[in-house]
Amino acid sequence: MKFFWLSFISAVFILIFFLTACDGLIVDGECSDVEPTLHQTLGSVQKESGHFSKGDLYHYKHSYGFNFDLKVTKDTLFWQDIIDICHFGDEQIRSVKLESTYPIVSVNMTFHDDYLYIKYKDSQFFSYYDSIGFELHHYYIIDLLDSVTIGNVKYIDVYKFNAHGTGASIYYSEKNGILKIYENDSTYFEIIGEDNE
Amino acid sequence: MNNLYRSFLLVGIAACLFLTSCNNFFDEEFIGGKFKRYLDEFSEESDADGYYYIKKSFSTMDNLGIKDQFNEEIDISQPHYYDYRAKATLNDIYATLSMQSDFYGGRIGISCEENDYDGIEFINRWKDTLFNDGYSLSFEDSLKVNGKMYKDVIVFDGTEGKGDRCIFDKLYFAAKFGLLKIDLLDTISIIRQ
Repeated sequence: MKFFWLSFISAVFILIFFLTACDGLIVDGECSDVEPTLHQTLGSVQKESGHFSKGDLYHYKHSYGFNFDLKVTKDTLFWQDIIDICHFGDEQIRSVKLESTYPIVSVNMTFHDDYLYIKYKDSQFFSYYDSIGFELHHYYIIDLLDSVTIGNVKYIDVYKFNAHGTGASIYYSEKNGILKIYENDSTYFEIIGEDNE
Repeated sequence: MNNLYRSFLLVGIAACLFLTSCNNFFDEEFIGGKFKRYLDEFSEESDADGYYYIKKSFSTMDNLGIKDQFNEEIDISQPHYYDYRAKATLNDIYATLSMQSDFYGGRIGISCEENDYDGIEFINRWKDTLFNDGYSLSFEDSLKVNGKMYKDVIVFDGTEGKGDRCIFDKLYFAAKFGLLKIDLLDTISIIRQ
C-alpha cells in the first residue's frame, strides 16, 4: 500500500513537471500563455537573402586550381507544420539548392523565420535571425566583416558562418550569395565576381 | 513413451548432423561461381595487419586533371564478411561494397549514396554476372587501370539501372586495393593513382 502511494505521488510530480516544462502551463492540452496558433510567414530578409534565382549560375575558382560553376537548381517557398507541444500551426520555409554537375558539389540552404541552416558535405551551419537580420552575439558561429576582397572585387557586409566541429566556414553576402567556402585551412573555393569597383 | 524418447533422440541426432555439416555451406562447391574466392581475396588482404577495422586513404585524378582524395573504411570483423566504404573529399561522392556469405549462399551490396544503407543487392552467386533491376555486377579475373594490372576485380555497371539509386556509370573494386575507378556522367573517369 505504501508503495502504491509513493508511486502515485511520484507520478503526480512527474505529470506536473511535464505540464509546466514548456513555455507555460498546459490547460486542457493547450498552452495557456503562448499563442496557440502560429502562421509564421517569412520576412523579406529571408525571402530575398542571397538574391538567388533558379537557373542562376555562379562561377568559382577552387584552391586545387580548377574553375567550376554552382547553379541554383532550387529556390522554393513552402509551408511546413510546426511540431511543438506548445505551438500549433505552420511556418513558411525557403529552400535554396546550388549544385555543380562536376565536381559533384552541392550547397543546401534552408531559411526559417528565426534561423538559416546550411548543409555543405559533412558540415552544418546555423545562423539565427532577430527582427532586423542575423544575430551577431553568437560570435563562435557568426561574424560580420565590413568588407572582403576576393580577386579584385570588394564585397561589403560579409557574414562568416562557422560550422561546428569540422573547421569549415562560409563567407556569405546577403547581396551576392556564397562568396567563399573553406572546407579546412587549406582547401577552399571562392567566387569569380565581376569587377564592381 | 519409449517411442517418444526414440523419436526425440533421432531428431536430435539429425539436428546435430545438420548443424555440423553447415561448414559445407561455405565451401566453394556450395557457394559456386567466383563469389567465395573473391570474398576471401578481398577480406584476407585487409587482415594483413591483424586489424578488423581499417582506415586508409588514396588519391585520384580524373581525366580532366582534377585531383581528389578518398578515405576508406574496411570492416572484416566477422567471418565470411567484407564491408568497404570510400568517401571522396573534393567530390560529394560515396561508394561502398559489402560481401557476405551465409547459410543461403551470400550477397553483395553496392551503395552509391551515404544514406542508402542496404544498397543495391545482388544475391545470385552462382553466375559470374549478377543482375538486379537493370544494375549488373561482374567478376573480372584481371583488369588494367591507369597502366596497372589488377587481379580479381568486381565491376558494378549502373548504366542500365532503373530508378535513381546510383549516379555512377561504373565502379571498379579490386581485391587488395579497394576502389580503383569511377566512371560517371558518360565522360568522367576518376582513377586511383
